[in-house]
Amino acid sequence: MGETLLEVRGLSKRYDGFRALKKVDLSLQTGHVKGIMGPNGAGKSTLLRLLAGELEVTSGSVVFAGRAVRELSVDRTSNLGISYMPQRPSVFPALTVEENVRGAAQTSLILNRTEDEPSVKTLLDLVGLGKRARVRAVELPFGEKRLLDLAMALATKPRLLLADEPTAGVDRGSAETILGLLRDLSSPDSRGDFGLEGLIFTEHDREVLFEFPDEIGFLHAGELIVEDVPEQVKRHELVRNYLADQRNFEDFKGDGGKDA
Amino acid sequence: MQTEASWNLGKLLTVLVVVLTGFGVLPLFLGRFQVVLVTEALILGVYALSFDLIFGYAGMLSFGQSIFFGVGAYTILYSFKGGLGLAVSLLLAVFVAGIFGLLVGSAIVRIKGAKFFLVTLVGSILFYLLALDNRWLTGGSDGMVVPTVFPGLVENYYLVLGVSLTTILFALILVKSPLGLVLKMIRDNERRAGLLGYSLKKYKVMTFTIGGGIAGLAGGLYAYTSGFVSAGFFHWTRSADAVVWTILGGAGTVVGPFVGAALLTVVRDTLSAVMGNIYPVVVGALLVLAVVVFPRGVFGLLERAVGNWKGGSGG
Ligand SMILES: Nc1ncnc2c1ncn2[C@@H]1O[C@H](COP(=O)(O)OP(=O)(O)OP(=O)(O)O)[C@@H](O)[C@H]1O
Ligand SMILES: [Mg+2]
Repeated sequence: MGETLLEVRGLSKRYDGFRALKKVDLSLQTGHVKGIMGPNGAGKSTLLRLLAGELEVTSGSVVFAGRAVRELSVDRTSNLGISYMPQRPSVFPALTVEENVRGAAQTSLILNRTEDEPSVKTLLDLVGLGKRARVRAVELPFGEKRLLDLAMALATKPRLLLADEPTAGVDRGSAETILGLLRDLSSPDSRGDFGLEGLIFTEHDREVLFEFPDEIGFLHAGELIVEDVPEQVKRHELVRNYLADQRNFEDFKGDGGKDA
Repeated sequence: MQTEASWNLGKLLTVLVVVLTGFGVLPLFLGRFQVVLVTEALILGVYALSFDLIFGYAGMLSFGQSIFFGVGAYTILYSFKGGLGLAVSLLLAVFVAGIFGLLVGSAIVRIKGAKFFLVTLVGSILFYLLALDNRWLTGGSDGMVVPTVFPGLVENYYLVLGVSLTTILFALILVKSPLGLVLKMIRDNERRAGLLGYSLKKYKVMTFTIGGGIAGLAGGLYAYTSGFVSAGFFHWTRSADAVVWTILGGAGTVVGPFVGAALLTVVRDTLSAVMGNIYPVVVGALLVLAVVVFPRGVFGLLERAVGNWKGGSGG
């Protein structure tokens, strides 16, 4: 504990002329969980995709476990132990659920990074898709696709997991599985199982957001307005406005929003 | 799982015995001309399979396969001229065409989508024009005679059959291996394959190298059995042939390309005998049919039919 796993300094991203992320400073201690919130278009996905090496950094630095990863391609970053679960389901449609996970798990075998490759069966059972192993991924409903996404992200045995809105649009049952797993895998006593050393996830749902992260960051129009323990973040004026807006919107929808 | 695996092995062995016996005794029932036709169909099947690895498994729609076919053919020519034997020459054809696959693949690996298709098409046109212009090396459109002594048509047939089966076996092992799984992942979802840590560049170049080598093997066999090579071996329509046969027969299967190649070789032959040059029209119609009616190709259709007949789920 107390060691820095990820250190981000002055991270900026421009899409053509548009500044999607502006000089973000952020750090994650080993063993910690960070939630990132912010309105649509705030730059949450952009931030995670920069960290994952999927987007080219415009300026700033990213240091992961003492290594500068800014210039690395996405596969190299992944090989170093940063795993990104994209915002939308991203599975291999024509392959079976089992093949999806096996394909993800064999990276760590090919790379020889770990002695024992995580067993495909263990992973499938972990996310509750054990009975769906032979189904082609394209046939899974949305929630199960997300479970598969998570199983694949974990199959690479990441040190740092970046989960982009892992429960958005997901049915309640699957969402609970996903959140339960994220919580368990990042808690100090079970961390040894998968070797996860840190978790950053984005989320719109405030119930989830304030539940288990150690720190929360609030992004707004590409700027990290505040980054602190949940209690402090809640007090920030812009955050209060944002949460109130969200609540109004949900009241407006008339059903508490989430399971629409 | 256990019983299923052994059942699969049993099925595989049965299929193998039937196929081997069938193809083994085939020449007894065929005339000289038909033996030549089947030999040609097998070679073109190997050629189509080389394209299928690149397209059906790794998802790259390449129109450059004739480059490697031509390179393999000319490698055989010069290897024979240099006094090397058939086996060594064929291996050399695989090797040299594989090197070309590596080089071409490395040059175009970053290009995506429709552009990729265009660049490979232009590439095969370029190679054809180069072959046409450098008569001293290729004999141009008149071509060159491959200096070899034929052991006989039936002997050639068995040679080609052996090489085809070896190639099929190699391809089956490849696509069932962890490497094969990576290729299918890249075909299905490039983005996620990259996110999971696979270097797209590396695996695509690797596929091009292997596909190039196998196309070179086919080109070499073709040159050897026909006793002749010309710049036409590089012609882009030959690339298109591989695309058509594979899609028709069933992309993403190892046997499909052979089915497609055999079907169209016979169709072309029959049609040209009966009514001249309507082959392109027929091929066009078949392709449309393939894409619309049986997207998994003739082989997929057969597989499903067999599956239904057994009361299984097909696939
Ligand atoms: N590839 C791109 N090209 C151009 N602009 C982009 C691109 N990707 C994102 N943007 C823009 O950058 C801004 C930030 O997008 P981003 O996806 O990071 O937001 P987000 O916080 O994840 O939003 P959401 O909650 O909707 O997922 C948005 O205005 C978006 O339109
Ligand atoms: Mg987003």
